[in-house]
Amino acid sequence: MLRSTLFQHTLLAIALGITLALPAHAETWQIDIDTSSLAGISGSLDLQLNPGASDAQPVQVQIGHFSTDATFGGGLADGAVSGSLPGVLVLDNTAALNAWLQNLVFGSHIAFTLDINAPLTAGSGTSFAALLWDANFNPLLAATGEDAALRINLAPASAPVWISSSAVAVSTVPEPAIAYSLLAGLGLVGFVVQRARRRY
Amino acid sequence: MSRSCIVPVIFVLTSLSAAMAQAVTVTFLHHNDLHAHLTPHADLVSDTAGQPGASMHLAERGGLARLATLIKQQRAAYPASVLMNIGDTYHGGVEALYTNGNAVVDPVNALGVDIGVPGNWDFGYSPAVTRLRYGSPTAAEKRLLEASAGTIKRPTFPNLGGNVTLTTGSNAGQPLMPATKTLIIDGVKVGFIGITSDIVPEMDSVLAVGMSFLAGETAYRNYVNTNAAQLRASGAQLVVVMSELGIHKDERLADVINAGSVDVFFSAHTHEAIFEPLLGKSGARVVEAGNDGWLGRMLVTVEPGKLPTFNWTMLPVTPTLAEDPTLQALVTTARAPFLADANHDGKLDTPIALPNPAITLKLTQPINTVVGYMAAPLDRRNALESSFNDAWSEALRGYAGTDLGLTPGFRFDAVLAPGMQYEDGHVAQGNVTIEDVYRYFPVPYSMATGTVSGARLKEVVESNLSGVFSRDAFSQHGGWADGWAGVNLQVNLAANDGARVQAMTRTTGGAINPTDSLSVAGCQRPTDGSDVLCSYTGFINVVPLVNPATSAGWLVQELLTELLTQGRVNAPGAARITDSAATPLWPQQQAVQPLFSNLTSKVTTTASGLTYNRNTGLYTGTITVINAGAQALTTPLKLVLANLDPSIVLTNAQGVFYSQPFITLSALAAGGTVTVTVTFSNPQRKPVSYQTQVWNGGV
Repeated sequence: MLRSTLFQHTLLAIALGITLALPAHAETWQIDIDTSSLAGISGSLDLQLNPGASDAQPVQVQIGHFSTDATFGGGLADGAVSGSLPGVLVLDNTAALNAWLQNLVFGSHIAFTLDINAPLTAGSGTSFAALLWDANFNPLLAATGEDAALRINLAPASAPVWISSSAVAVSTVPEPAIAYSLLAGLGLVGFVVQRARRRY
Repeated sequence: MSRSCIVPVIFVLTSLSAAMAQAVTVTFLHHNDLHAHLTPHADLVSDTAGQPGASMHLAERGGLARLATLIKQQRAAYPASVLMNIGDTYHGGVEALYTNGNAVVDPVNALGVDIGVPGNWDFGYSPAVTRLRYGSPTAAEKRLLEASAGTIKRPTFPNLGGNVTLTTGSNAGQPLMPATKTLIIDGVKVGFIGITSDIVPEMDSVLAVGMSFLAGETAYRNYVNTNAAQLRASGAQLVVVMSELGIHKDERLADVINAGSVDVFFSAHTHEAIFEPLLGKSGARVVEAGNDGWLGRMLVTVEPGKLPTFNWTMLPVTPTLAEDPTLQALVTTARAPFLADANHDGKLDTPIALPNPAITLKLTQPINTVVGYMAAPLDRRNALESSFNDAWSEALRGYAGTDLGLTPGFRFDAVLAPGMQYEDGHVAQGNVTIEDVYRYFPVPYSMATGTVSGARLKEVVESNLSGVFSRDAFSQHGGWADGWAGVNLQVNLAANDGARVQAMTRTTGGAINPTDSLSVAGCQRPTDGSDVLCSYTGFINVVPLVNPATSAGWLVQELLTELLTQGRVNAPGAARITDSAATPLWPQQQAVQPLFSNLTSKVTTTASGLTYNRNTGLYTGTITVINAGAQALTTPLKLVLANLDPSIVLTNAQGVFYSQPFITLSALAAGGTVTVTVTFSNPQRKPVSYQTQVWNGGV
């Protein structure tokens, strides 16, 4: 009897642990920018990942699932950038400026997923920013007090800080690994609960 | 070896080992800037002992007989001690002035000083006096020097100051005084580095004749590093610097010298009472024991294999200390000629002339003769504007009939505070004696008038304010700010050097324009030309201010005495200088001349990433500062970005601190957080690298 209860509690603890142990620093976000007020305007989308200072630990972001009805022009990479839009774009924070500048004529929306890998423990922070410029590089749809429509501050030992304008919508996208963990954990919880019901 | 021998050997070895491992505490007794004050005097003392506060009280401090008692008490309690005398010693009082400092030598020698460093005013009599007192002239040179200076008494303790090199005489090329000395104190080898004044040539080039003075931060950093390394190599377990550079420069040196080279800077010159030692980046502590009226005590405990520990205490020289009879007798002897009035007719038995016959100043009355009465407090205890300087410059202006009055910003002081209560309950009378006059002016300079343009006036004020308030200590010079009458100054002390004066208006109304011509009454040294007033060039037609009774030029002591006697030195009205930055000054800050404190170890800072603006070409982010300590951090508070690449500019910097840009922070409560925006231009897109520092105090 005692052994059985102990087994049951251990199983429940493992199940809850699996369910709740979400990765802290590898996260995927869905970004949607409503550019309908800019439709037809020539400008650019500027995606940047810059450190605060050279002591910042490595950070990488991946931009994927890019979709827009904007008309694309040329793109320009600065610093540690690989890939290009509308394909997958990877930015590292190794240079002072790491950016992809995409010239375009704005449509009604821009959307993409953002994978952030920022296991920061010390040093200066790093910021990811999505900036919208007009043809003269005046900021568009900027958040209050910002040049950027969206800025994410990544700092050591703290949760990312999001600053965005009302035109930007952010939602989480569970990663496959997280989803599998969640499902496995919930499954185990269900199994334990079912076992307990049978016994009583 | 037999077993019977082994046991005692082991016992002896063990005992030796234990003795070697034993901690030893060496006590450094630090006395600085006596300024020839043989007797007790009034002093203004902060109510909060070095912590920011708004109030002060009147106290009786000093007196060599009481100081001697305190020193004896401390040496009895801490036998492994060394007594240091640093800074202006034989200059600053009437007895000293009329004897080339000789009157003060015997009493100071009787204190039992072990080692000393002269102050800038100890060079103030003449190069001949300086060489005779501190140098090692040959017999022939001594006879020659004494022909002009007379007999000069010497301290019986060694004085250090290798930063002054002789350029004439048989010892040309040699330092005036040794740079270092080593003493063994209770088995601990202590190396002393001496730095005497660096500003003597600025005071008056005549005083520096035949001597070359080390100048600038780099020279002094190298001087300290080199001497400290030699002392350490010779086995010194502790290395201390005794310095007349002043605490602001010493604090800077403690930041830039080699780590671990110096244990403590014992500072003088700036008269700052430092209750909590400053800690430099090198690990060196920096302290200064006010001026006459305090004795500093630094306990340094040395233990093999461990870093030394430090314990600093400021001990006041108060009336509760009994007067040491030996010292009292010496002081009485030294002062006797200056008080002798056997006939009780108000005249000295023997009038006393200055040793320099070229100056006609003479004492004919006992120095305790009351020559005036102040109905309101008068002191020179403020770095920006003091009641004495205001009162005297206004009296001078009124007497001379000029637009402006000017008096130098000396650190000499004799607090007159009628109506204020001393610590022991008695109330200050407000009497002003001849001795008080000389405590404000122990320098025999002449009075003069000249004219100056509004543009040059602004430059003069800017130069003076930079000399006092520069954030680069090695750009500071002289004492505190000059006193001006006839002009109201609007300044911003928090601005950079050369940009502090915002507006100048006449006290009678109307702005002072660059092309205006203003008459000024001020001071003149014997060797000054007709374009120099109070050491400033750019004046026109500077001529002596003449005493009509004698047809000779007034000397400052004579004119001050005359105007006090006539009741023409009155308490000043409203402040004439307004600081738009509202910089807290003593006692709101711990130091009279604002002093920076490095609080970097008490905060944590985190920089955000930067966002690049393609229109402006600027990178913008934030830095968050958290007060990790238990104490609130008061303003002025600065976040300094040190060692930024020269091609990267902090474009929203609010000033520079040792050429490093800073941003002003608001006060931070314990545990509080403040976030500031930082904006950089980085045209070469170099990695942004800097060290954050947080400083408070200063300007």
